[in-house]
Amino acid sequence: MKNLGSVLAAYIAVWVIFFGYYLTVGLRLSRLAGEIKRLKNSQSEN
Amino acid sequence: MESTAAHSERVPLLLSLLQLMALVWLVLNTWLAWTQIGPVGLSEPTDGSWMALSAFILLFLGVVCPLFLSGSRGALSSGFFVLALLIVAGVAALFIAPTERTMGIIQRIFYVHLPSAAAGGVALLTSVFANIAYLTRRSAKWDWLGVSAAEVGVVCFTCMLVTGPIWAHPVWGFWWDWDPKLTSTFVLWVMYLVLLFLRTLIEDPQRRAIASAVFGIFAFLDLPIVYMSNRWWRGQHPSPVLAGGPNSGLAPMMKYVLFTCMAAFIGLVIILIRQRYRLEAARHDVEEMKIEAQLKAADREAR
Amino acid sequence: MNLPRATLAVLSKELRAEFRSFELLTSTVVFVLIIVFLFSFTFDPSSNESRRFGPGLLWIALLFAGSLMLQPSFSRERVNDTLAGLRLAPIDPFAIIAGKLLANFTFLLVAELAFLPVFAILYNLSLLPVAAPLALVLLLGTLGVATVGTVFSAISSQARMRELLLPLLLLPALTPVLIASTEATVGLLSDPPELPRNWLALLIAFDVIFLTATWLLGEYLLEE
Repeated sequence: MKNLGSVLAAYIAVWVIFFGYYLTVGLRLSRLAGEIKRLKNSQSEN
Repeated sequence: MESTAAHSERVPLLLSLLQLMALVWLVLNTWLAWTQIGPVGLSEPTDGSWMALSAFILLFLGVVCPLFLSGSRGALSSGFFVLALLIVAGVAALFIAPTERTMGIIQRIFYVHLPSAAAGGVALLTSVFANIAYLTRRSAKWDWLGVSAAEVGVVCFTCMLVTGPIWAHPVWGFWWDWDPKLTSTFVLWVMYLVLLFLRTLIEDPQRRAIASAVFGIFAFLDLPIVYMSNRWWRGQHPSPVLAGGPNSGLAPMMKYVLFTCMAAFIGLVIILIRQRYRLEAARHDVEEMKIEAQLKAADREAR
Repeated sequence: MNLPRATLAVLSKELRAEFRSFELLTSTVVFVLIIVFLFSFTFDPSSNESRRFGPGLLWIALLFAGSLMLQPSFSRERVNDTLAGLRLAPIDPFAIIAGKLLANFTFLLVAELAFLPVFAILYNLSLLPVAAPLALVLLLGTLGVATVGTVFSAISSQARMRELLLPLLLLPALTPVLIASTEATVGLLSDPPELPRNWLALLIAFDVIFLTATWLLGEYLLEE
Protein backbone atom coordinates (compact mmCIF):
# COMPACT_ATOMS: atom_id res chain seq x y z
CA MET A 1 0.00 0.00 0.00
CA LYS A 2 2.76 2.42 -0.96
CA ASN A 3 1.64 5.96 -1.91
CA LEU A 4 -1.74 5.62 -0.21
CA GLY A 5 -1.28 9.14 1.15
CA SER A 6 -0.84 10.60 -2.34
CA VAL A 7 -3.93 8.86 -3.66
CA LEU A 8 -6.03 10.10 -0.76
CA ALA A 9 -4.58 13.60 -1.11
CA ALA A 10 -5.51 13.70 -4.78
CA TYR A 11 -9.08 12.50 -4.20
CA ILE A 12 -9.59 14.89 -1.32
CA ALA A 13 -8.14 17.78 -3.34
CA VAL A 14 -10.54 17.13 -6.21
CA TRP A 15 -13.46 16.86 -3.82
CA VAL A 16 -12.52 20.08 -2.02
CA ILE A 17 -12.04 22.01 -5.29
CA PHE A 18 -15.38 20.99 -6.80
CA PHE A 19 -17.35 21.28 -3.59
CA GLY A 20 -15.71 24.59 -2.72
CA TYR A 21 -16.60 25.93 -6.14
CA TYR A 22 -20.19 24.74 -5.76
CA LEU A 23 -20.36 26.50 -2.39
CA THR A 24 -19.00 29.78 -3.75
CA VAL A 25 -21.54 29.75 -6.57
CA GLY A 26 -24.31 29.04 -4.08
CA LEU A 27 -23.06 31.80 -1.81
CA ARG A 28 -22.92 34.35 -4.62
CA LEU A 29 -26.39 33.28 -5.74
CA SER A 30 -27.94 33.67 -2.31
CA ARG A 31 -26.30 37.07 -1.94
CA LEU A 32 -27.81 38.16 -5.27
CA ALA A 33 -31.19 36.73 -4.26
CA GLY A 34 -31.04 38.88 -1.12
CA GLU A 35 -30.23 41.91 -3.23
CA ILE A 36 -33.11 41.20 -5.59
CA LYS A 37 -35.45 40.99 -2.61
CA ARG A 38 -34.13 44.27 -1.22
CA LEU A 39 -34.53 46.03 -4.58
CA LYS A 40 -38.07 44.69 -4.98
CA ASN A 41 -38.98 45.92 -1.49
CA SER A 42 -37.59 49.39 -2.15
CA GLN A 43 -39.50 49.50 -5.42
CA SER A 44 -42.81 48.57 -3.85
CA GLU A 45 -42.28 51.16 -1.12
CA ASN A 46 -42.19 53.96 -3.67
CA MET B 1 -37.17 9.33 -6.25
CA GLU B 2 -39.58 12.14 -7.16
CA SER B 3 -42.58 9.94 -7.71
CA THR B 4 -44.56 11.52 -4.85
CA ALA B 5 -44.19 15.02 -6.25
CA ALA B 6 -44.67 14.08 -9.87
CA HIS B 7 -47.86 12.03 -9.88
CA SER B 8 -49.79 14.80 -11.57
CA GLU B 9 -47.66 14.69 -14.74
CA ARG B 10 -46.52 11.70 -16.69
CA VAL B 11 -43.24 12.98 -18.15
CA PRO B 12 -41.46 13.65 -14.84
CA LEU B 13 -42.57 10.24 -13.59
CA LEU B 14 -41.23 8.57 -16.71
CA LEU B 15 -37.92 10.43 -16.35
CA SER B 16 -37.61 9.46 -12.72
CA LEU B 17 -38.22 5.88 -13.72
CA LEU B 18 -35.51 6.09 -16.37
CA GLN B 19 -33.15 7.62 -13.84
CA LEU B 20 -33.91 4.82 -11.42
CA MET B 21 -33.32 2.20 -14.10
CA ALA B 22 -30.04 3.84 -15.07
CA LEU B 23 -28.95 3.86 -11.46
CA VAL B 24 -29.89 0.21 -10.96
CA TRP B 25 -27.99 -0.64 -14.15
CA LEU B 26 -24.94 1.22 -12.90
CA VAL B 27 -24.95 -0.31 -9.41
CA LEU B 28 -25.63 -3.79 -10.79
CA ASN B 29 -22.71 -3.51 -13.21
CA THR B 30 -20.41 -2.19 -10.55
CA TRP B 31 -21.42 -5.04 -8.22
CA LEU B 32 -20.84 -7.56 -11.00
CA ALA B 33 -17.44 -6.01 -11.58
CA TRP B 34 -16.67 -6.33 -7.90
CA THR B 35 -17.62 -10.01 -7.83
CA GLN B 36 -15.14 -10.60 -10.68
CA ILE B 37 -17.87 -11.71 -13.09
CA GLY B 38 -17.44 -8.58 -15.16
CA PRO B 39 -20.08 -5.99 -15.94
CA VAL B 40 -22.77 -6.71 -18.51
CA GLY B 41 -21.37 -6.12 -21.96
CA LEU B 42 -17.81 -6.80 -20.94
CA SER B 43 -17.71 -10.46 -21.92
CA GLU B 44 -15.46 -9.45 -24.82
CA PRO B 45 -12.22 -8.30 -23.21
CA THR B 46 -11.61 -5.32 -25.52
CA ASP B 47 -15.14 -4.02 -25.70
CA GLY B 48 -14.49 -0.51 -24.45
CA SER B 49 -16.59 1.43 -26.93
CA TRP B 50 -19.69 -0.40 -25.77
CA MET B 51 -18.99 0.68 -22.20
CA ALA B 52 -18.49 4.27 -23.33
CA LEU B 53 -21.83 4.24 -25.11
CA SER B 54 -23.52 2.81 -22.02
CA ALA B 55 -21.93 5.48 -19.80
CA PHE B 56 -23.11 8.30 -22.00
CA ILE B 57 -26.64 6.96 -22.40
CA LEU B 58 -26.65 6.90 -18.61
CA LEU B 59 -25.51 10.49 -18.50
CA PHE B 60 -28.08 11.62 -21.04
CA LEU B 61 -31.01 9.92 -19.35
CA GLY B 62 -30.04 10.69 -15.79
CA VAL B 63 -28.61 14.20 -15.96
CA VAL B 64 -29.50 15.99 -19.18
CA CYS B 65 -33.14 14.98 -19.68
CA PRO B 66 -34.43 16.03 -16.24
CA LEU B 67 -32.95 19.52 -16.77
CA PHE B 68 -35.58 20.15 -19.44
CA LEU B 69 -38.35 19.90 -16.87
CA SER B 70 -39.75 23.19 -15.69
CA GLY B 71 -39.11 24.43 -12.19
CA SER B 72 -36.48 23.28 -9.76
CA ARG B 73 -37.68 19.69 -9.62
CA GLY B 74 -35.70 18.52 -12.67
CA ALA B 75 -32.53 20.19 -11.48
CA LEU B 76 -32.93 18.62 -8.06
CA SER B 77 -33.42 15.13 -9.45
CA SER B 78 -30.49 15.38 -11.85
CA GLY B 79 -28.42 16.75 -8.99
CA PHE B 80 -29.24 13.70 -6.91
CA PHE B 81 -28.45 11.49 -9.86
CA VAL B 82 -25.02 13.11 -10.28
CA LEU B 83 -24.39 12.62 -6.57
CA ALA B 84 -25.23 8.91 -6.88
CA LEU B 85 -23.03 8.63 -9.97
CA LEU B 86 -20.15 10.29 -8.12
CA ILE B 87 -20.49 7.92 -5.16
CA VAL B 88 -20.55 4.85 -7.41
CA ALA B 89 -17.61 6.20 -9.44
CA GLY B 90 -15.60 6.90 -6.30
CA VAL B 91 -16.21 3.43 -4.89
CA ALA B 92 -15.38 1.87 -8.26
CA ALA B 93 -12.17 3.88 -8.65
CA LEU B 94 -10.89 3.20 -5.15
CA PHE B 95 -12.01 -0.40 -4.54
CA ILE B 96 -13.11 -2.15 -7.72
CA ALA B 97 -10.58 -1.15 -10.35
CA PRO B 98 -7.67 -3.62 -10.44
CA THR B 99 -4.37 -2.37 -9.06
CA GLU B 100 -1.91 -1.51 -11.81
CA ARG B 101 1.03 -3.90 -12.04
CA THR B 102 4.02 -1.53 -12.17
CA MET B 103 2.73 1.69 -10.65
CA GLY B 104 0.67 0.25 -7.81
CA ILE B 105 -2.24 2.07 -6.25
CA ILE B 106 -0.92 5.49 -7.26
CA GLN B 107 -2.39 4.75 -10.69
CA ARG B 108 -5.86 5.21 -9.16
CA ILE B 109 -5.31 8.99 -9.38
CA PHE B 110 -5.80 8.43 -13.11
CA TYR B 111 -9.54 7.94 -12.44
CA VAL B 112 -9.89 11.55 -11.31
CA HIS B 113 -7.15 13.07 -13.46
CA LEU B 114 -8.40 11.98 -16.88
CA PRO B 115 -12.13 12.53 -16.13
CA SER B 116 -11.45 16.06 -14.91
CA ALA B 117 -9.55 16.67 -18.14
CA ALA B 118 -12.48 15.28 -20.14
CA ALA B 119 -15.00 17.29 -18.14
CA GLY B 120 -12.87 20.41 -18.55
CA GLY B 121 -12.76 19.74 -22.26
CA VAL B 122 -16.54 19.46 -22.40
CA ALA B 123 -16.85 22.73 -20.49
CA LEU B 124 -14.42 24.58 -22.75
CA LEU B 125 -16.11 23.22 -25.88
CA THR B 126 -19.42 24.47 -24.52
CA SER B 127 -17.84 27.82 -23.79
CA VAL B 128 -16.42 28.22 -27.29
CA PHE B 129 -19.66 27.09 -28.86
CA ALA B 130 -21.46 29.73 -26.79
CA ASN B 131 -18.88 32.36 -27.76
CA ILE B 132 -19.41 31.69 -31.46
CA ALA B 133 -23.17 31.64 -30.94
CA TYR B 134 -22.98 34.98 -29.16
CA LEU B 135 -21.07 36.62 -32.00
CA THR B 136 -23.57 35.40 -34.57
CA ARG B 137 -26.82 35.62 -32.58
CA ARG B 138 -26.12 38.49 -30.15
CA SER B 139 -28.32 37.14 -27.39
CA ALA B 140 -26.97 37.83 -23.90
CA LYS B 141 -27.88 34.29 -22.88
CA TRP B 142 -25.04 32.89 -24.98
CA ASP B 143 -22.66 35.21 -23.21
CA TRP B 144 -23.87 33.92 -19.84
CA LEU B 145 -23.42 30.34 -20.98
CA GLY B 146 -19.96 31.18 -22.31
CA VAL B 147 -18.69 32.64 -19.07
CA SER B 148 -20.31 29.91 -16.95
CA ALA B 149 -18.73 27.13 -18.97
CA ALA B 150 -15.35 28.91 -19.00
CA GLU B 151 -15.36 29.24 -15.22
CA VAL B 152 -16.32 25.60 -14.68
CA GLY B 153 -13.67 24.60 -17.21
CA VAL B 154 -11.07 26.48 -15.20
CA VAL B 155 -12.17 24.58 -12.09
CA CYS B 156 -11.79 21.24 -13.91
CA PHE B 157 -8.40 22.18 -15.28
CA THR B 158 -7.34 23.18 -11.77
CA CYS B 159 -8.25 19.67 -10.61
CA MET B 160 -6.26 18.18 -13.44
CA LEU B 161 -3.23 20.37 -12.69
CA VAL B 162 -3.40 19.51 -8.98
CA THR B 163 -3.79 15.74 -9.36
CA GLY B 164 -1.19 15.49 -12.13
CA PRO B 165 1.85 16.44 -10.00
CA ILE B 166 0.60 14.32 -7.06
CA TRP B 167 0.69 11.35 -9.43
CA ALA B 168 3.92 12.38 -11.13
CA HIS B 169 6.00 12.81 -7.99
CA PRO B 170 6.16 9.12 -6.99
CA VAL B 171 6.10 7.82 -10.57
CA TRP B 172 8.48 10.15 -12.44
CA GLY B 173 10.42 11.29 -9.40
CA PHE B 174 9.61 14.96 -9.95
CA TRP B 175 6.48 17.10 -9.63
CA TRP B 176 6.38 18.84 -12.93
CA ASP B 177 7.98 18.50 -16.31
CA TRP B 178 7.93 21.14 -18.98
CA ASP B 179 6.82 18.71 -21.60
CA PRO B 180 4.73 20.16 -24.46
CA LYS B 181 1.46 18.64 -23.31
CA LEU B 182 1.78 19.83 -19.73
CA THR B 183 2.96 23.23 -20.87
CA SER B 184 0.09 23.67 -23.29
CA THR B 185 -2.48 22.63 -20.72
CA PHE B 186 -0.99 25.09 -18.28
CA VAL B 187 -1.11 27.83 -20.90
CA LEU B 188 -4.74 27.06 -21.67
CA TRP B 189 -5.58 27.22 -17.97
CA VAL B 190 -3.82 30.58 -17.59
CA MET B 191 -5.60 31.98 -20.65
CA TYR B 192 -9.03 31.08 -19.32
CA LEU B 193 -8.12 32.58 -15.94
CA VAL B 194 -7.18 35.78 -17.78
CA LEU B 195 -10.49 35.61 -19.65
CA LEU B 196 -12.37 35.59 -16.35
CA PHE B 197 -10.21 38.47 -15.12
CA LEU B 198 -10.81 40.40 -18.34
CA ARG B 199 -14.56 40.25 -17.77
CA THR B 200 -14.26 42.06 -14.46
CA LEU B 201 -12.44 44.96 -16.15
CA ILE B 202 -15.01 45.91 -18.81
CA GLU B 203 -18.15 47.63 -17.55
CA ASP B 204 -20.37 47.80 -20.61
CA PRO B 205 -22.16 44.42 -20.91
CA GLN B 206 -22.12 44.30 -24.69
CA ARG B 207 -18.47 45.25 -25.06
CA ARG B 208 -17.61 42.78 -22.33
CA ALA B 209 -19.48 40.04 -24.13
CA ILE B 210 -17.84 40.71 -27.49
CA ALA B 211 -14.33 41.08 -26.07
CA SER B 212 -14.58 37.92 -24.00
CA ALA B 213 -16.11 35.96 -26.87
CA VAL B 214 -13.28 36.93 -29.21
CA PHE B 215 -10.65 36.25 -26.58
CA GLY B 216 -12.29 32.93 -25.70
CA ILE B 217 -12.17 31.81 -29.32
CA PHE B 218 -8.54 32.89 -29.61
CA ALA B 219 -7.65 31.01 -26.44
CA PHE B 220 -9.42 27.94 -27.73
CA LEU B 221 -7.49 28.11 -30.99
CA ASP B 222 -4.44 27.28 -28.90
CA LEU B 223 -5.89 23.77 -28.55
CA PRO B 224 -4.83 22.50 -32.00
CA ILE B 225 -1.33 23.55 -31.04
CA VAL B 226 -1.73 21.57 -27.81
CA TYR B 227 -2.71 18.59 -29.89
CA MET B 228 0.08 19.01 -32.43
CA SER B 229 2.71 19.42 -29.76
CA ASN B 230 1.42 16.25 -28.09
CA ARG B 231 1.69 14.19 -31.23
CA TRP B 232 4.91 15.64 -32.63
CA TRP B 233 7.18 15.58 -29.64
CA ARG B 234 7.09 12.61 -27.36
CA GLY B 235 7.64 13.89 -23.86
CA GLN B 236 7.24 12.58 -20.32
CA HIS B 237 3.48 12.47 -20.41
CA PRO B 238 1.92 9.03 -21.02
CA SER B 239 0.45 8.71 -24.48
CA PRO B 240 -3.33 8.79 -24.81
CA VAL B 241 -4.71 5.48 -23.52
CA LEU B 242 -8.05 5.57 -25.30
CA ALA B 243 -7.11 6.61 -28.84
CA GLY B 244 -3.37 6.06 -28.79
CA GLY B 245 -1.20 3.62 -30.70
CA PRO B 246 -1.50 -0.16 -30.73
CA ASN B 247 0.61 -0.66 -27.61
CA SER B 248 -1.40 1.64 -25.39
CA GLY B 249 -4.58 0.44 -23.82
CA LEU B 250 -6.41 -0.33 -20.64
CA ALA B 251 -7.68 -3.49 -19.03
CA PRO B 252 -11.44 -3.81 -19.64
CA MET B 253 -12.23 -3.38 -15.96
CA MET B 254 -10.16 -0.21 -15.85
CA LYS B 255 -12.06 1.04 -18.88
CA TYR B 256 -15.35 0.36 -17.13
CA VAL B 257 -14.28 2.33 -14.07
CA LEU B 258 -12.82 5.10 -16.20
CA PHE B 259 -16.02 5.58 -18.19
CA THR B 260 -18.11 5.57 -15.03
CA CYS B 261 -15.86 8.27 -13.59
CA MET B 262 -16.02 10.27 -16.82
CA ALA B 263 -19.80 10.12 -16.85
CA ALA B 264 -19.88 11.26 -13.22
CA PHE B 265 -17.53 14.18 -13.80
CA ILE B 266 -19.26 15.33 -16.96
CA GLY B 267 -22.58 15.14 -15.11
CA LEU B 268 -21.10 17.24 -12.34
CA VAL B 269 -19.89 19.79 -14.86
CA ILE B 270 -23.34 20.03 -16.42
CA ILE B 271 -24.87 20.71 -13.00
CA LEU B 272 -22.18 23.29 -12.16
CA ILE B 273 -22.57 25.11 -15.47
CA ARG B 274 -26.32 25.27 -14.96
CA GLN B 275 -25.89 26.69 -11.47
CA ARG B 276 -23.33 29.25 -12.62
CA TYR B 277 -25.62 30.24 -15.49
CA ARG B 278 -28.39 30.98 -13.00
CA LEU B 279 -25.95 33.18 -11.11
CA GLU B 280 -25.13 35.15 -14.26
CA ALA B 281 -28.83 35.54 -15.05
CA ALA B 282 -29.54 36.78 -11.53
CA ARG B 283 -26.68 39.25 -11.84
CA HIS B 284 -28.25 40.58 -15.03
CA ASP B 285 -31.60 40.93 -13.25
CA VAL B 286 -30.01 42.90 -10.42
CA GLU B 287 -28.28 45.24 -12.88
CA GLU B 288 -31.55 45.86 -14.71
CA MET B 289 -33.44 46.48 -11.48
CA LYS B 290 -30.79 48.93 -10.34
CA ILE B 291 -31.03 50.87 -13.59
CA GLU B 292 -34.80 50.88 -13.29
CA ALA B 293 -34.60 52.17 -9.71
CA GLN B 294 -32.20 54.91 -10.80
CA LEU B 295 -34.51 55.94 -13.63
CA LYS B 296 -37.45 56.12 -11.26
CA ALA B 297 -35.49 58.21 -8.78
CA ALA B 298 -34.45 60.60 -11.54
CA ASP B 299 -38.03 60.76 -12.72
CA ARG B 300 -39.25 61.67 -9.24
CA GLU B 301 -36.64 64.38 -8.90
CA ALA B 302 -37.60 65.85 -12.24
CA ARG B 303 -41.16 66.13 -11.03
CA MET C 1 -12.46 52.00 -51.69
CA ASN C 2 -11.39 48.39 -51.92
CA LEU C 3 -9.78 46.50 -49.08
CA PRO C 4 -6.10 46.69 -50.13
CA ARG C 5 -6.21 50.43 -50.77
CA ALA C 6 -8.05 51.12 -47.52
CA THR C 7 -5.53 48.95 -45.65
CA LEU C 8 -2.67 50.88 -47.23
CA ALA C 9 -4.30 54.16 -46.24
CA VAL C 10 -4.61 53.07 -42.59
CA LEU C 11 -1.06 51.71 -42.68
CA SER C 12 0.38 54.94 -44.04
CA LYS C 13 -1.56 56.92 -41.44
CA GLU C 14 -0.07 54.77 -38.66
CA LEU C 15 3.43 55.03 -40.08
CA ARG C 16 3.18 58.78 -40.49
CA ALA C 17 1.98 59.19 -36.92
CA GLU C 18 4.88 57.14 -35.61
CA PHE C 19 7.65 58.47 -37.84
CA ARG C 20 6.72 62.00 -36.85
CA SER C 21 8.08 61.44 -33.36
CA PHE C 22 9.67 57.96 -33.21
CA GLU C 23 8.33 57.80 -29.63
CA LEU C 24 7.29 54.18 -29.74
CA LEU C 25 10.33 52.86 -31.57
CA THR C 26 12.88 54.66 -29.42
CA SER C 27 11.30 53.58 -26.17
CA THR C 28 10.97 49.98 -27.38
CA VAL C 29 14.56 49.68 -28.55
CA VAL C 30 15.84 51.19 -25.32
CA PHE C 31 13.59 48.85 -23.32
CA VAL C 32 14.89 45.79 -25.15
CA LEU C 33 18.47 46.93 -24.64
CA ILE C 34 17.84 47.31 -20.91
CA ILE C 35 16.40 43.78 -20.77
CA VAL C 36 19.40 42.39 -22.65
CA PHE C 37 21.74 44.27 -20.34
CA LEU C 38 19.96 42.95 -17.25
CA PHE C 39 19.97 39.38 -18.56
CA SER C 40 23.76 39.47 -18.83
CA PHE C 41 23.88 39.26 -15.02
CA THR C 42 21.94 35.99 -14.92
CA PHE C 43 24.55 33.93 -16.77
CA ASP C 44 28.06 34.25 -18.12
CA PRO C 45 27.65 35.69 -21.64
CA SER C 46 30.53 33.77 -23.17
CA SER C 47 30.11 32.45 -26.70
CA ASN C 48 29.22 28.89 -25.63
CA GLU C 49 26.74 29.87 -22.95
CA SER C 50 25.13 32.44 -25.23
CA ARG C 51 24.50 29.83 -27.85
CA ARG C 52 22.43 27.90 -25.32
CA PHE C 53 20.60 30.75 -23.60
CA GLY C 54 20.80 33.53 -26.19
CA PRO C 55 17.86 32.56 -28.41
CA GLY C 56 15.47 32.25 -25.49
CA LEU C 57 16.62 35.58 -24.16
CA LEU C 58 16.24 37.18 -27.56
CA TRP C 59 12.67 36.00 -27.96
CA ILE C 60 11.61 36.82 -24.42
CA ALA C 61 12.97 40.33 -24.93
CA LEU C 62 11.10 40.61 -28.23
CA LEU C 63 7.85 39.37 -26.67
CA PHE C 64 8.11 41.87 -23.81
CA ALA C 65 8.88 44.59 -26.31
CA GLY C 66 5.83 43.54 -28.32
CA SER C 67 3.52 43.66 -25.32
CA LEU C 68 4.83 47.15 -24.60
CA MET C 69 4.78 48.43 -28.15
CA LEU C 70 1.37 47.13 -29.24
CA GLN C 71 -0.40 48.78 -26.32
CA PRO C 72 -0.84 52.27 -27.89
CA SER C 73 -2.05 50.83 -31.20
CA PHE C 74 -5.68 51.19 -30.17
CA SER C 75 -5.55 53.09 -26.91
CA ARG C 76 -3.84 55.98 -28.71
CA GLU C 77 -7.08 56.40 -30.68
CA ARG C 78 -9.11 56.81 -27.52
CA VAL C 79 -7.72 60.22 -26.59
CA ASN C 80 -9.72 62.04 -29.23
CA ASP C 81 -11.95 59.07 -30.04
CA THR C 82 -10.43 58.94 -33.51
CA LEU C 83 -11.41 55.30 -33.86
CA ALA C 84 -15.03 56.44 -34.25
CA GLY C 85 -13.89 58.59 -37.17
CA LEU C 86 -12.09 55.68 -38.76
CA ARG C 87 -15.17 53.54 -38.35
CA LEU C 88 -17.33 56.11 -40.10
CA ALA C 89 -15.15 55.91 -43.21
CA PRO C 90 -16.81 53.99 -46.05
CA ILE C 91 -14.31 51.12 -45.91
CA ASP C 92 -14.33 47.51 -44.84
CA PRO C 93 -13.77 47.60 -41.04
CA PHE C 94 -11.24 44.82 -41.46
CA ALA C 95 -9.02 47.34 -43.27
CA ILE C 96 -8.55 49.20 -39.96
CA ILE C 97 -7.37 46.04 -38.21
CA ALA C 98 -5.24 44.97 -41.18
CA GLY C 99 -3.60 48.38 -41.49
CA LYS C 100 -2.78 48.49 -37.80
CA LEU C 101 -1.52 44.92 -37.96
CA LEU C 102 0.85 45.74 -40.81
CA ALA C 103 2.00 48.89 -39.04
CA ASN C 104 2.74 46.95 -35.86
CA PHE C 105 4.54 44.32 -37.91
CA THR C 106 6.70 47.03 -39.47
CA PHE C 107 7.47 48.67 -36.13
CA LEU C 108 8.50 45.37 -34.58
CA LEU C 109 10.73 44.55 -37.55
CA VAL C 110 12.39 47.97 -37.40
CA ALA C 111 13.01 47.53 -33.67
CA GLU C 112 14.51 44.09 -34.31
CA LEU C 113 16.79 45.44 -37.04
CA ALA C 114 18.02 48.10 -34.66
CA PHE C 115 18.68 45.78 -31.79
CA LEU C 116 19.87 42.49 -33.32
CA PRO C 117 23.42 43.73 -34.16
CA VAL C 118 23.81 45.05 -30.62
CA PHE C 119 22.58 41.76 -29.23
CA ALA C 120 24.99 39.77 -31.42
CA ILE C 121 27.94 41.88 -30.27
CA LEU C 122 27.08 41.91 -26.57
CA TYR C 123 26.54 38.14 -26.47
CA ASN C 124 29.38 37.14 -28.81
CA LEU C 125 27.10 35.48 -31.35
CA SER C 126 27.85 35.39 -35.06
CA LEU C 127 24.48 35.88 -36.68
CA LEU C 128 25.68 36.90 -40.14
CA PRO C 129 26.33 33.37 -41.53
CA VAL C 130 22.73 32.36 -40.79
CA ALA C 131 21.19 35.73 -41.65
CA ALA C 132 18.78 34.46 -44.32
CA PRO C 133 17.14 31.60 -42.36
CA LEU C 134 17.18 33.73 -39.21
CA ALA C 135 15.34 36.46 -41.09
CA LEU C 136 12.70 33.89 -42.07
CA VAL C 137 12.23 32.80 -38.44
CA LEU C 138 12.09 36.42 -37.32
CA LEU C 139 9.51 37.32 -39.99
CA LEU C 140 7.24 34.39 -39.10
CA GLY C 141 7.58 34.92 -35.35
CA THR C 142 7.04 38.65 -35.59
CA LEU C 143 4.00 38.16 -37.78
CA GLY C 144 2.50 35.94 -35.06
CA VAL C 145 3.25 38.53 -32.38
CA ALA C 146 1.82 41.37 -34.47
CA THR C 147 -1.37 39.46 -35.41
CA VAL C 148 -2.40 38.33 -31.94
CA GLY C 149 -1.04 41.52 -30.42
CA THR C 150 -3.15 43.82 -32.60
CA VAL C 151 -6.38 41.96 -31.77
CA PHE C 152 -5.61 41.83 -28.06
CA SER C 153 -4.65 45.48 -28.09
CA ALA C 154 -8.14 46.21 -29.43
CA ILE C 155 -9.59 44.13 -26.58
CA SER C 156 -7.49 45.64 -23.83
CA SER C 157 -8.10 49.22 -25.00
CA GLN C 158 -11.74 48.75 -23.97
CA ALA C 159 -10.93 47.70 -20.42
CA ARG C 160 -9.76 49.29 -17.23
CA MET C 161 -6.07 48.84 -16.32
CA ARG C 162 -5.25 48.35 -19.98
CA GLU C 163 -1.49 48.80 -19.55
CA LEU C 164 -1.45 45.82 -17.22
CA LEU C 165 -3.96 43.81 -19.15
CA LEU C 166 -2.27 43.53 -22.54
CA PRO C 167 0.77 41.53 -21.34
CA LEU C 168 -1.58 39.25 -19.40
CA LEU C 169 -3.66 38.58 -22.49
CA LEU C 170 -0.78 38.43 -24.90
CA LEU C 171 2.10 36.57 -23.30
CA PRO C 172 0.31 33.25 -22.58
CA ALA C 173 -1.19 33.22 -26.05
CA LEU C 174 2.22 33.73 -27.60
CA THR C 175 3.94 30.83 -25.83
CA PRO C 176 3.77 28.66 -28.98
CA VAL C 177 5.55 31.43 -30.88
CA LEU C 178 8.11 31.75 -28.11
CA ILE C 179 8.82 28.00 -27.99
CA ALA C 180 8.90 27.49 -31.74
CA SER C 181 11.03 30.49 -32.64
CA THR C 182 13.41 29.89 -29.74
CA GLU C 183 13.92 26.28 -30.80
CA ALA C 184 14.35 27.32 -34.43
CA THR C 185 16.94 29.92 -33.44
CA VAL C 186 18.76 27.39 -31.25
CA GLY C 187 18.92 25.10 -34.29
CA LEU C 188 20.38 27.93 -36.38
CA LEU C 189 23.04 28.76 -33.80
CA SER C 190 24.11 25.16 -33.20
CA ASP C 191 27.10 23.64 -34.95
CA PRO C 192 26.50 22.85 -37.82
CA PRO C 193 23.53 25.22 -38.20
CA GLU C 194 20.27 23.67 -39.29
CA LEU C 195 16.77 25.02 -39.70
CA PRO C 196 14.35 22.70 -37.84
CA ARG C 197 11.44 22.13 -40.23
CA ASN C 198 8.84 21.13 -37.64
CA TRP C 199 9.24 24.29 -35.57
CA LEU C 200 9.06 26.37 -38.71
CA ALA C 201 5.87 24.50 -39.63
CA LEU C 202 4.45 25.27 -36.18
CA LEU C 203 5.20 28.96 -36.65
CA ILE C 204 3.51 28.94 -40.07
CA ALA C 205 0.51 27.10 -38.62
CA PHE C 206 0.24 29.63 -35.80
CA ASP C 207 0.38 32.55 -38.23
CA VAL C 208 -2.19 31.05 -40.60
CA ILE C 209 -4.61 30.09 -37.79
CA PHE C 210 -4.51 33.46 -36.09
CA LEU C 211 -4.50 35.54 -39.27
CA THR C 212 -7.67 33.71 -40.32
CA ALA C 213 -9.19 34.21 -36.88
CA THR C 214 -8.34 37.90 -37.03
CA TRP C 215 -9.89 38.20 -40.46
CA LEU C 216 -13.08 36.50 -39.23
CA LEU C 217 -13.43 38.06 -35.77
CA GLY C 218 -11.44 41.29 -35.75
CA GLU C 219 -14.17 43.61 -36.90
CA TYR C 220 -16.51 42.59 -34.06
CA LEU C 221 -14.13 44.41 -31.72
CA LEU C 222 -14.63 47.69 -33.60
CA GLU C 223 -18.37 47.74 -33.06
CA GLU C 224 -19.87 50.52 -31.06
